[in-house]
Amino acid sequence: MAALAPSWFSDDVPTARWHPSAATMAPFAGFICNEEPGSGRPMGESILRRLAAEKPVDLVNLAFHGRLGPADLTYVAETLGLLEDKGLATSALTQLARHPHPMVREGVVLGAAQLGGDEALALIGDMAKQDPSAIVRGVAADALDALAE
Amino acid sequence: MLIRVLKRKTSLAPETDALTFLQAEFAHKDGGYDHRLSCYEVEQAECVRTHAEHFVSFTQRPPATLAHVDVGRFGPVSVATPGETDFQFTREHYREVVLDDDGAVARLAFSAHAALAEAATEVPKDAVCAYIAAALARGDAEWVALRDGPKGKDRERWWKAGQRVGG
Repeated sequence: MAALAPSWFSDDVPTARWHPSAATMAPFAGFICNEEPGSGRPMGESILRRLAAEKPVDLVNLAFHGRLGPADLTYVAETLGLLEDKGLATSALTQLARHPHPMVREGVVLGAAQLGGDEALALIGDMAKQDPSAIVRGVAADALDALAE
Repeated sequence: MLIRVLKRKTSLAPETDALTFLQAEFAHKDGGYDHRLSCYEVEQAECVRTHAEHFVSFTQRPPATLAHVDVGRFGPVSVATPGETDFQFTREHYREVVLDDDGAVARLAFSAHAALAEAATEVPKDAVCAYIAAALARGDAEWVALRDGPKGKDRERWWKAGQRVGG
């Protein structure tokens, strides 16, 4: 399986770190299409939640695999909010916040809101102000309101 | 109306194409596409109530997305199925749209996506929170039981949101 660095991925992180092994990708073989990113069948939230609990690094690797479409990535991003390693999760969410599709960035907001902590809140705050999508800005503002209650 | 609650507000965004809409909103939780789509058969005036009962039953705080798409206008077959909310109304109005295969799911999703301007509705979060506040204020037995029961503490953010909107 080709390991392509997504075009939106920051150059300041060694991309080799994010290339998942064949073993990591094996459970997803039926869902990921090698020909066109995002053209496979959806992975489902259950397996992502299991990854978050049992193999959190693999979940992060999956986010940057380069073959997932926005619909899978939005749930990967949300599930990153369940990671116990908040530093790892925040780093991944900060990268995903640069994804060109607003659905992925909406997932980033939901993941960051779930994650909590100063860095995640700062990320949501930045997205509430600066995200190019009005929908995502609104979701981020709602998330800040909800967290303040 | 036969409404399917949406998971992502950006499913309604112009950047979201039909395939992404299908994958995001019609997936099975265990992977692949869902051939038994969860829906509620309700009247237009009952949508706020439906969202309130659905989300308070399944989420600990108000979600970012409160929207649905009326899939009933595309003629799918639905069956009455016992729902799993904490409220009799939404349990009784729960339906499953039964589809034969992935192709049938895709056809329904693509039809809905092509008609989102007419078929999709965003429900204001404040309206949902105000509904909850009003139900609690009038002493609705189900809402009071939920708030005061073992699940009530986990729903603290909902009660606070209701207080903020409903006073």
